[in-house]
Amino acid sequence: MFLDNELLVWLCLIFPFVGTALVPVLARVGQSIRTAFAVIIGFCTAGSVLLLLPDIWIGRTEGLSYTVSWAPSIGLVFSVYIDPLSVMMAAVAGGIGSLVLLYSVKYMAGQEGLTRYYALVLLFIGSMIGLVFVDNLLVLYFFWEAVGLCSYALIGFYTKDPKAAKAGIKALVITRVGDIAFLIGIFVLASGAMTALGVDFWQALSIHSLIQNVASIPLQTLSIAGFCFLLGAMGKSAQVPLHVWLPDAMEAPTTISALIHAATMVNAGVYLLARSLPLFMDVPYWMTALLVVGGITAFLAATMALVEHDLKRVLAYSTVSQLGYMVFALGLVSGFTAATFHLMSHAIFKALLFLGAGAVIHSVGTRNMYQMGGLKKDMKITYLAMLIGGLSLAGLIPLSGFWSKDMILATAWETGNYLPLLLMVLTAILTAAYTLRMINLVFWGESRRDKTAHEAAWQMSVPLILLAFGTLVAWLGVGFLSRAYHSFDLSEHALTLSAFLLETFETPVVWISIAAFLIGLALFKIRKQYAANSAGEKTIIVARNGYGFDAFYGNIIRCLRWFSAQFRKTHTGDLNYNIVGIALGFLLLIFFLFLLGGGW
Amino acid sequence: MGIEMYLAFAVVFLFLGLYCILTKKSIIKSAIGISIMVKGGSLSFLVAGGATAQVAVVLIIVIDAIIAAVLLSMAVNVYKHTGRLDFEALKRLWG
Amino acid sequence: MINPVLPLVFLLAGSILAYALGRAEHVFKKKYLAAGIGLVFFSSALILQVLLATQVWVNGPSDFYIGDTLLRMDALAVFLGLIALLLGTIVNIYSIIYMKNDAGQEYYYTLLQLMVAGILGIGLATDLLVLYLFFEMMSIPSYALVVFRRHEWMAIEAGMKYIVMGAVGSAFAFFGISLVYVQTGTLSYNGLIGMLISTPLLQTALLFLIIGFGVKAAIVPLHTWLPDAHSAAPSGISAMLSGIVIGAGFFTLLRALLIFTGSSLPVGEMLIIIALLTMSVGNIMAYSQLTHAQSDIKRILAYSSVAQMGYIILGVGVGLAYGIRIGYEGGLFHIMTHAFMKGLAFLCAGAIIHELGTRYLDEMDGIGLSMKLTGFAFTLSLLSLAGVPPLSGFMSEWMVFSGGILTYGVIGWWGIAIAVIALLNALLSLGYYLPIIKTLYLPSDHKKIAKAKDASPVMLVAIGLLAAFTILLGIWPEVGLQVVKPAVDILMSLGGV
Repeated sequence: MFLDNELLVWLCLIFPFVGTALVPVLARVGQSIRTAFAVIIGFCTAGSVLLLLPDIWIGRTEGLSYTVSWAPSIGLVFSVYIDPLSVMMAAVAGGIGSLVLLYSVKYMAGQEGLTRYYALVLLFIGSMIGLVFVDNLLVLYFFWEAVGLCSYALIGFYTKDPKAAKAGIKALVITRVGDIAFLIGIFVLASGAMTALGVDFWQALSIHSLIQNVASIPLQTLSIAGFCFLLGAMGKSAQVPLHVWLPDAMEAPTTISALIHAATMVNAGVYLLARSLPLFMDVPYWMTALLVVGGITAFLAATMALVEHDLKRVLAYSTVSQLGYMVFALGLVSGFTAATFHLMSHAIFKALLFLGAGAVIHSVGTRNMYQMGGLKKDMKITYLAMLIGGLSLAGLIPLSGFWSKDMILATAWETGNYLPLLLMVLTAILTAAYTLRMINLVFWGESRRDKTAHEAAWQMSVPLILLAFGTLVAWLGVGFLSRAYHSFDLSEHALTLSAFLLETFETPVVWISIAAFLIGLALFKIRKQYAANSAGEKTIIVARNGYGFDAFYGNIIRCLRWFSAQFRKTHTGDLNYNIVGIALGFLLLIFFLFLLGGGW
Repeated sequence: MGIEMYLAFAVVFLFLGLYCILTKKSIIKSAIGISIMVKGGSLSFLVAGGATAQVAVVLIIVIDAIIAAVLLSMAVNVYKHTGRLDFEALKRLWG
Repeated sequence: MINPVLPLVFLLAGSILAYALGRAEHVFKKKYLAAGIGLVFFSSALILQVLLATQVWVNGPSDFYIGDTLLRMDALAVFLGLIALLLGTIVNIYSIIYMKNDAGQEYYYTLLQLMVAGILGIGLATDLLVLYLFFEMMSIPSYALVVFRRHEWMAIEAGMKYIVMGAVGSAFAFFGISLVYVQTGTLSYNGLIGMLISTPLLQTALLFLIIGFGVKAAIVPLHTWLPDAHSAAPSGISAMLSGIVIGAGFFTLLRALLIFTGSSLPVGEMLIIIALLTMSVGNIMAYSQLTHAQSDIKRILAYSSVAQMGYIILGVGVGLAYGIRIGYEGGLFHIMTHAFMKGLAFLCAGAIIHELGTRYLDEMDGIGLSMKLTGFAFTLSLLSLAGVPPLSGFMSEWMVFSGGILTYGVIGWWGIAIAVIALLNALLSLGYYLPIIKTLYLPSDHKKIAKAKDASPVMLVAIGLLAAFTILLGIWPEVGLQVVKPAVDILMSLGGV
């Protein structure tokens, strides 16, 4: 290669963070300089990752691993370990990140607080790349929380909108629930590994060495950690029942929805599970739990997407559903390749759909699909791009979404999980139906708008065209991906592209996939009759209310508020009672002393 | 009397003072209570005897005096604000 | 070689001079004399302390005798002194403008320096009686500073409660010390550490010491003075009290408890239970502030200090109980990061209150939009308190939590229970930090808010310094850990209790 690998790795990490620091400085010089700088930094980052990609994917068997000291006083090191999976994730973050930055130039023009916007987007891209590059679980957690912070701040970007601020808080709090479990899992794992392997704290946190020594770690430790990691991933990747934040997160600017809430951050949970798969594979019921969580999520979210009338929320539920597919795939033995392949193709076509939706919203001025319609004529490029993205999501052969989804279904078939497979096929049918419903409401039929639409500017259409192109061809990379995984011992099979195609058409599943798309099409045709039916109406209302998850969480919060308001009364503000506190404390201490076995 | 006896007295002093602060509403009585509590500590030091004890007792008398002075000057301000000298009037801050 | 008591002497001299020049302000009709003296002496003491620190880290502790009394600057004292002086200097800068219209400049800067001198002394002490003396030297000025604005009802009421509770605590602590003396006939750490065995008298002493010093460390249920005092004091003083005085209170408690090393009393375990109680009550009470109208922003921050004390005590507790190094490191590092971030939060809240003339959160809608820099710094401090990376609070909080969970290796599921409680607390704390941030940026059509201007440049310097520390310790924690590590080395060398 032209550049040293080590240099490239550090460049990937340094570019976005330096960019973050410099954006506010350059904003003082001039608005357009700042924006141009942010975009250039985005492309530099993407370039560094993409330069790194071929070397990792082709002909390597050992990951790149580099270490720098971070806090030597406590032994904290910043170590990176880069394998095909991490570089693929980073390429998605950098690539889509840079396209989103370019798109933002026009889309966000004239908004208030753009300096904050660009700084946060760059911070996000850097943190995301950091998250997938690092080897140390704690440093991973650092970035894990950092992307959460960026997501929170960017969801609440429109500060004038109280709903946006609320959605940001909701996202941060709910993902924090998962993060707590994740952190506990990390430390239980480290604590168990410390005693089992006889290594120090920081070595016990290296994912790479944990995987190598997994046989010597006690099963109890692995079980606790495994389920904790799963909870963490469920929060970040919006799996039922922790999915409620993602639809609300659509208050963010659409660019952010595309980048963070479709293509990158929400995949972090899937990444974590994929990364730690070798650790927890043998934990009883762990894989089953993935199947159940992923399956239920995929199905429920698809039904909710079917009845939603907000364009972005449809896409959000669809993202939840597709993430469910990935988690489901990981739960199948040997579903690693399928899951990560779907992750890649989904990232591309979902970013495309969101950016397309952004162009539509920008031009129409509303997110309600019932106030759109007939946009096919006015926004040709956007229409074509979204059509490609939508059909890929719906699973039309030969778009990338078809191949990756088919691979998941085929893996389920091969491993004999017929019942879950049925659920996933059902979901696939629903997916086709809601995608077509969305395309229909937005682009086809008569206009229900009160405003004329206009085609997007070039800064917006170029990313759309590039992503549409990616959707068409990304699946051709499956051969490289699968062989790279094989040489890194991440998966058992190595396929070439032709072998992949052959294998695909040898299994009966491919026909099921195609049939699912067609049935979905049929379902879309009969939708009106179903909705007219009273039973159908009731189910639609239940689904529109998100199956009561939001209400449930709302009740928890209300209970908490009530309790704390009652508890507040114990602080009377009367000095005598304050002194009672001292006396009470004294008695409590005596009690503890006896309890802990040190009493007289 | 044995050393335990003196210590028992010291503890009695301490908790007598505490009881006083616990039950009385008057600021002045609270100040007296604090002084009684401190006397418990002094007594217990004196039980052990020795040079350090003497230093400690002298020290605590001084500190007690300073605290009492600050407390009473605050009491003056309480009187200015409320016109009375008890904690009944000082219950606005709560929760 | 620098004399270890020099920073202390500087502050004492500074306090006398500040008083004299404060009086002179009236005579010569000049402003800022006392403040200037404060700043000069604070910053020179800080420089001395930094020099001393490098000296101590390289050559080991340095001693100074006053008669028979030994004062020793070791790494623990360096740790406490550096934080106290740094925060003191910054608060002094802030107060120059913030307090400029208050009467009694001569008292303010005198008391401020005396209070910090007391904190320095707490570090220097090598026997319980001297420790107690300096503890009072810190406490008494803090009582007076809380009621500094004695024309305000709130200040008087809060100060009254604070002094009574503080004095009761002191009496308890003094009694505890006397019991140790009765048992052993000595009060010096050297004579006590590792020598004590578990006797009823010492167990009683332990109780009295925890209760006594615990009042200042705001452990639950002895914390009830804190929300009053910390919210009623002038904001600079609130920053000092929440930032370092309660930390120093806990430091005193720790120093006193260290004498039980080797006595097989369950000191560490008791601290862990206290810590869990403290953080839970602190967080619930902070959260409850938002359940009623007219929530006082400084009161929320004050309760958050109670909760944060819980994290500190938890870290040190697991260190003390099970010899878990990262627990100690987390606890001490959290004292440092909390000093800066809570100091920052109070200074920002103070600047906003100063500008708007209200202390109620619901009258601050959108203030972050008109006071951009202050609002940004406030947001930073709140995010840091909530434990969000890449800010310093995240770094120290996860160290504390990791200490908590690592007890899993010793006490199994109990360890996980500790961690779950601590982490649920961290989750609950988001419930009041984030709404404050939200309020800062809500749209508002209130004229007063639209017209509000950022704090004056001098105040912004103080705020900026603390904000810089809050970010720096997050992305480059090594700076702070350099100070923490030698201190932890001392604690670890003492062995468990």
